[in-house]
Amino acid sequence: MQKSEFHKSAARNIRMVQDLFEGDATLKVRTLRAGENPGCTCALLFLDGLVNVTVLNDAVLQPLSKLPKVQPGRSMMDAVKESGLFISFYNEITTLDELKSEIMLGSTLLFVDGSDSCLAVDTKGWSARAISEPESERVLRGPREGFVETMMVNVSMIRRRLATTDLKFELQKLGRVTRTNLCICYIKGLVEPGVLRELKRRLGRVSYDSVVDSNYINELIRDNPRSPFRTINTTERPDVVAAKLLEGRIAVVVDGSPVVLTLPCLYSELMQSPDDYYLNYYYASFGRLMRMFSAFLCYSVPAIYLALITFHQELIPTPLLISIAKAREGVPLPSVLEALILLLAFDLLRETGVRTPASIGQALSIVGALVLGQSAVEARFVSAPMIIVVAISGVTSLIVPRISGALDLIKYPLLILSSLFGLYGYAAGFITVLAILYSMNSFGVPYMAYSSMLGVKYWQDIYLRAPWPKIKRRPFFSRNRDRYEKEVD
Amino acid sequence: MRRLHRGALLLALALLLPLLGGCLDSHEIETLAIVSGLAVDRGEEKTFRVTAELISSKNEQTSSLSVSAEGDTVYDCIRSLVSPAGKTLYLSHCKVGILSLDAAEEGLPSLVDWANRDTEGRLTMSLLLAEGRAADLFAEQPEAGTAVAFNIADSLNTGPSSVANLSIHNFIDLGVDVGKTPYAPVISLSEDGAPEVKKLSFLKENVPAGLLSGEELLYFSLLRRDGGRRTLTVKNDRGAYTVELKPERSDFQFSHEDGGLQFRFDYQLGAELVDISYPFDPHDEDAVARMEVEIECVVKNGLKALAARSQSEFQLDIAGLGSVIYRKEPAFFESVRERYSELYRNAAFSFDTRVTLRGTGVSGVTVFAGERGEAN
Repeated sequence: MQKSEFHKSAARNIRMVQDLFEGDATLKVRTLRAGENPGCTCALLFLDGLVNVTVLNDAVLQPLSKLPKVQPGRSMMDAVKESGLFISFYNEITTLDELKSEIMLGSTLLFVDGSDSCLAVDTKGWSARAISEPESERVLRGPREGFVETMMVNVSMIRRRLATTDLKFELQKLGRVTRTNLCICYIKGLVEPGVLRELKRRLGRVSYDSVVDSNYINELIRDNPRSPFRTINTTERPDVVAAKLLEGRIAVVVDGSPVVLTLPCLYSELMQSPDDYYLNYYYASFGRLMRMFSAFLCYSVPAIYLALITFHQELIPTPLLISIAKAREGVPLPSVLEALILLLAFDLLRETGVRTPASIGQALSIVGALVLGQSAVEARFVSAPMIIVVAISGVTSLIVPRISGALDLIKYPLLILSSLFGLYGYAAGFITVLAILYSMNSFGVPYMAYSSMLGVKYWQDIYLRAPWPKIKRRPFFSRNRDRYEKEVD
Repeated sequence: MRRLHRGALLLALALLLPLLGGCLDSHEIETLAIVSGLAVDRGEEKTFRVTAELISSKNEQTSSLSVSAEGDTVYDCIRSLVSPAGKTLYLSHCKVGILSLDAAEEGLPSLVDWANRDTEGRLTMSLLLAEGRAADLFAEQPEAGTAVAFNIADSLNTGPSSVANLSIHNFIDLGVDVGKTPYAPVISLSEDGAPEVKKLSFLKENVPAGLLSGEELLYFSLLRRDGGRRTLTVKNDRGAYTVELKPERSDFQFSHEDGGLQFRFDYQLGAELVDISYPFDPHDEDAVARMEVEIECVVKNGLKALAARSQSEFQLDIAGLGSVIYRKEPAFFESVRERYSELYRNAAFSFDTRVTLRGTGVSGVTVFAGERGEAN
């Protein structure tokens, strides 16, 4: 049995904890006599703001103050455990590390004279955000729940959706300073053991001092850390996490972050939306194809347009060519500079819009539209066709939010290549991007799996969303691929 | 090692780009003078005078302006056009190339050869010959928002005669293919100043050698068996009527007996009555039969006349029958190639035409205001 690091004297334990939290005014200490046991002092220590005071008063203080006289020879701690606490859960701890962890999580520490162990009583009660629909993952139809910053609340939301004992939660702590709790969720029997092992191995190698958000873990353990394309997916929706767990993926819930990581991640996932599974499959398939096309338009339209107007004017229909030439007449900037300035301006406006208070957002959008759209064209600073091209690129990037960051990054080099080498440069850049994508992996799973597989059976949940009865198989990296218990005709 | 290999590949790709790409070919679109049409005339001081119609993008409405330059070759003229144009000429959207008949006598190849070799000019550019000065066609101010050359190109595509739209690419094929005779549509200005294509010129040894016009164009297309619809107006003692003829089946056979050539044409034509100036009852089988026989005679006589004219006046195998002979009996054609034109001049033509009246429009019976006329 591990030797306790605490003293049998409650007073000395109090001093020890106060030394530990020296300078921290939120540490509160409450000593009281253990009911009808005058020689015995109990000490309660907690961090103000993290505990539910009502629970502390009703479930701990009150019963402790009424503790009946303990018979001689009987341990006071045992008596307290049996009759002095009206609480559903407590943890008996013996080390300072456990003490620090428990008090930081909102537990109240209870020291009893005569015992060198400590009871960490579950009195968590900090203020938390209410469950609401995530802003970045709205759906037309489907659940409106979203994750919050409290890990156990998030875990409970996943648990409610998967009523199976095969659903496993493994807890872990990361960050030398923050000691952030995280939970690895998976369904035993569906998850590939190799992927799980790899995840645990990578988490074990993390020695970073702080983990404030799930993105810290994302960047510390992901494959291809320099690639703008994510190899670990994220979501704020519990229904999405449940669906991904059922596909044999692993979810990582991080305390303090409403964003849950799911892995392995495939490129084709980035085109999916939760709506796809709640709407009619025709509409869902159309929406998915639109998203794929929009992703292509986002990074291609500015580059191809620039290549056509500077190198390959013969490819443009004559009436359109004349119209573009007329629009560009008098514009002082070369086309490539014009495109770069407009793209940067659009990104600036978008960033500003994200961080602007709602009260002035409308005014800002009017300024942006008037300044960029109307005034710049009338002043012949930029040409109208270029504004249209940049607008198409900007709008289409918003249709695929999971990949918009990567698309926004790659369209600049493609634009530069097009301005230097025409369509040849664009093709070279596009092929380079494809080569990089096809060389990427996500925890051992090829990133572009399914995206290049020919055969209708591979497309049932990639380019299209087949009706549910037709989606009979899980992804290939799942341990058990059959969704049906027996074949359905 | 794998990273080195990938890096080496990327470096090789990056080095290939400037070598195989064309960053030197970059042009801002507004620095280009878009040429919509070229007109080649005989020069006053030099051999050729080329007039280019340029699209002007300075005004709200699209407009055009013409610039001219002279030179010893068409290429020379085009290079000289940069000065009056003030911008780099952009020829990829040039829709029509027009040579005056006068300039064509100097040598049609000058324009065709330039178009064939130049990387910008498209071989789909329509080739036309002009009666009078070709540059006069661009002198007329087009309606706002268009260019003369574009109007001409549109009319060639939508006009009634398919022989009117001949691209330089097809013209080159005509000149290169064995047994074919090159021709080019002839454009002229109508009385109200609008350009129109109603004639065809054949070329012999690269110079114009004869013109076809009017109904001869219909018979020419029948001889060529190009399958397009044509209109034919027939006049008789009762009045006149117009039919739209569509070859439903056409057959060409040749034979070479007794040292000569015999050509036999067999046509099955479908006719649709489009207008008639006298009463006609389509339900009257005799009247229909009479009309069909009448059309057959007219077509047959027209074909015979055109064949005779090609033998005596043009002395050219205008329908490219030699190419059919070459395709079917190459050895024979090669053996008579040197004297084929002589054989053609003395060849015997026979035509067999059958016309079936397929339709008479929405209203079957001719209607006259006030009273019904009597059907024939």
